[in-house]
Amino acid sequence: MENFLIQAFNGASLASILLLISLGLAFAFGLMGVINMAHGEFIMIGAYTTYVFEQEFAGMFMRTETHDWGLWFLCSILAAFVVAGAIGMLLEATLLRRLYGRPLDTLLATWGVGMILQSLARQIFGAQNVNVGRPMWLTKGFKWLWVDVNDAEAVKALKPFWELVEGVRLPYTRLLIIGLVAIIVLLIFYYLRRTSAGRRLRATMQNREMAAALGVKSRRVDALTFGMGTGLAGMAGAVLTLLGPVGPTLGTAYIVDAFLVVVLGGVGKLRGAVLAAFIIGMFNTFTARYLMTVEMEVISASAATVAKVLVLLLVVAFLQWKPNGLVQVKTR
Amino acid sequence: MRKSMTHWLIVAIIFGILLLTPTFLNDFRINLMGKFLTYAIVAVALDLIWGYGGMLSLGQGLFFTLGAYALAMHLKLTNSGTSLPDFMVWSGVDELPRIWEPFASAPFALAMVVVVPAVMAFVIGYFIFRSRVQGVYFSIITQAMTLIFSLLFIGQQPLTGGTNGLTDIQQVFGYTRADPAFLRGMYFISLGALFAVYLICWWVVNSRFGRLLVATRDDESRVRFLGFNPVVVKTLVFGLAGALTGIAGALYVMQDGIISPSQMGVRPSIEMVIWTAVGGRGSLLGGIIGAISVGWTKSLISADYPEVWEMIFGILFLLIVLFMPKGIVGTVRDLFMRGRADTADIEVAQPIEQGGAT
Amino acid sequence: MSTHKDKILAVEDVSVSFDGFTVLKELDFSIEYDELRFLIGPNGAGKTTLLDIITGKTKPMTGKVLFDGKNVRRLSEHQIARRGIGRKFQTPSIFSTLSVYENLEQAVSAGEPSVRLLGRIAKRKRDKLEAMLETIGLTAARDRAADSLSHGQKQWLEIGMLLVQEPKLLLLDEPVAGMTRRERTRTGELVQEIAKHTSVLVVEHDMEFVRQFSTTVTVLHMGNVLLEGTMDDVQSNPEVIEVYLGRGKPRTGAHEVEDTREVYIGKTQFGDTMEAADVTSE
Repeated sequence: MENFLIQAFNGASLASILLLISLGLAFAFGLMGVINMAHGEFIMIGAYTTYVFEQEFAGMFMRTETHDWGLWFLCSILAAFVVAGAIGMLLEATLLRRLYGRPLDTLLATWGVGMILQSLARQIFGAQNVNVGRPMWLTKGFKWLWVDVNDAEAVKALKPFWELVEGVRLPYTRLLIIGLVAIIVLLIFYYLRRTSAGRRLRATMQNREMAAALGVKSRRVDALTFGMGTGLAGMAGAVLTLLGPVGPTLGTAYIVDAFLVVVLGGVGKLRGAVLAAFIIGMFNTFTARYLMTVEMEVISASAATVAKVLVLLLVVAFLQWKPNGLVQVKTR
Repeated sequence: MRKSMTHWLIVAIIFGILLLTPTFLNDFRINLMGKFLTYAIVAVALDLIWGYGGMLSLGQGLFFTLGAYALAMHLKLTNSGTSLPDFMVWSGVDELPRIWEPFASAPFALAMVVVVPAVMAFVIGYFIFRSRVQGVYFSIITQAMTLIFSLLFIGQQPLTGGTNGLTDIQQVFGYTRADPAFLRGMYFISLGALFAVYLICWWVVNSRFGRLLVATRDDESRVRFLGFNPVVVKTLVFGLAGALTGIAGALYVMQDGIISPSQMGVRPSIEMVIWTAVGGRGSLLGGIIGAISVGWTKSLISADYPEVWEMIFGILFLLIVLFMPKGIVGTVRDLFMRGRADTADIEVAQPIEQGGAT
Repeated sequence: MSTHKDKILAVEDVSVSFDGFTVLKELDFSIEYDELRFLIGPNGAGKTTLLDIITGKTKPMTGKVLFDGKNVRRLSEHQIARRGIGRKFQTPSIFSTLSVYENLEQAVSAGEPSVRLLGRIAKRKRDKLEAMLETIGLTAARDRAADSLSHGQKQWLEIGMLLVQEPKLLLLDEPVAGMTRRERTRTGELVQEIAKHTSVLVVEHDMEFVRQFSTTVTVLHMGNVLLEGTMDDVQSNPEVIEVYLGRGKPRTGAHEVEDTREVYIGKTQFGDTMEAADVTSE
């Protein structure tokens, strides 16, 4: 049971990261028909932004040898968003705009961009991975200690639950990731549904010409949305520094899964993306875990790889049934 | 009449040049060119599905390596004689895995060079096309497929040699691989294969079937309502391209002596797309020109400036997509066609993009 | 009730809904052999959906679709097409990068196995093709890319592609949309000519065209048949007038759905007009 909870928790945090990454992909495709193959490199940009931020500015945020409030880290997440977002908008304005209506060409062009960005990162930061320090409070884990153990009544009442969660330790890093993504997703929902900018975005997504005729500046909507998407990828990169080292190819590890989230979720649908990220994240974590526990004579490959194979099969099988993804608008 | 005359004249010139090329090159360059010829086969096959069929596969690296592995397995077995292949010994395998056993037979291995990639492409293609997945969706799924297979091959160390792959193949069907005479022979065999592949693809493209393929690209729903099943058309072509790409892989491994999962991943698969894009999609000869010219450029630059090759490659690619979307052949053809109203001359209709998802 | 024997097509008790909006409601509809039938109705009546049901593009939730006496409900589009139902789309649907000749060649080759398609076209089919080029007046344009044709020529090319297959039932979705007056008349005559030996169902918005060429007209409204009769019957029917003139405010969900899809102002057509407006005013 305790195992199950930990797995569910890990699955949820993987799903959160995937979601953060795939939101930008999904919007870029839904809005502009752009498949951004350089999206993974924006994750990398966000991660390096955090690295630079730590190196240069952490001292300004009350970090000393012994104390680290982690304020710099929270700020660096924002910085990652801004930097990755700005570069994204630049890319949109200089390149993607010229390729409007040619999705396959955009795919190839952005792949070229991704290669250039990776190579730039290698020139600037070197091919070796770098490590980003972790704020102290993030190194611990959350334990279920909110019940006073001397209060016999309370302990008795909570006993079944206590047995369930005893020994389960939830790392703060992952908690932070899940919490952060939850907040971002809520903000985006709010943005899309309740703000006029969000409505302009949705109008443009559904019918570009008509929205333009009604006075929506679709160019600006494109640039902002694309920037937002790459900014979110940058944030994902900032968050990923908590989980491992940063290298020029950081983004490539996540990008294919993120694409599968977009395919499974249905393009340009926020609800679909959330659901699909959750399914793929959970599925990945649980199958990998399960495969590790069973005797594997035939399958000697690492469990994580086999889990990925199964995810792909799942997605392809699902498309047999619902070709347009989980959430689709039915039209005639 | 005139159109096909010009066409065959150009074909004769290109293959004539390729036939004479070895006389001007040293042994090292002949070996390189021999490998580029196998790339050209890949590019021509990719053009069939992408340029004509509108299906941009980002997974051709898988079929290439599957073909290469099938033959390399046989070669590893014959190289190691009675003992186990080297990497198996290193990973502590003491008995030949059952899946390796039939590869001791050369005819079986040669058959597998074609059968494995073809069946793989068939099955994957069938299920993707059946669900009416098109355009970029198809690209994404084929990309995921090739990535996952490369991970699988890396993970199966005792079976596949893991990250290193199958290396150090010295003897190829009784010949010494490094022998210049052998490599020269392989050059001509590759050239012959390329010519055959070109003829096959040309025949397909210029038949009613080929025009049906273009029709499916242009308007799949019209094809359906005329009474054709587009799934059949696309699956057949994807399978054919897979088989041809597998043959290219086998020819490659005979000349290179190494095949590893790194040639299977996303990166090499997209490089294959670049060959076709640079040469010009929608033109089979373009694939040949693209593969060879990109290969040459790469070997020239990366020999002298390995660290900037990646960036130059990225920029080059970007420029091609932005300013020469029809590739070398398309651009040259446009130059010749300029001012001529008669466009019926064009080898095939120009590729058009598929629209959005739905 | 007449028996199925006289019907080329019988749609029985068919219902369809999209996301809860009922588009066709227990619809019964039939066409007899060699009949020329016109189908009219306000936007949202379900006309295009009915064509989708007949051709297998949309699967009905209930009911039967009998073609030539056999239920084709479970067949896919290409199987139904092969049984002899040809469909012309609202906007010309042709292979834009193929030549006129090659477009017809594809049509005439439909149903041949892939291997056969690698070989030459049969002489009989070639002759049929040449004759069709003549019929639709495109012999001179045979080697031109279909994309370079005028709108009216594209419409004819598509009709030609269907005719060369010799369908038993031909479905024409707004065949004269975007045509000039002269082209409309020519198309009308062509349709009447076809109907001499083929059953034809024409969906049309152009009332003048319907009046000129129709014998029997079916009025579809809110997913059901409102009236069947001659154009005079239709025009004098108070219910029909109510439906067409009282259309200021859509009353049902089904209405709204289709209203977002196509809006007609006079004879000008704006596809997908209202969708974005709906969103912004939400």
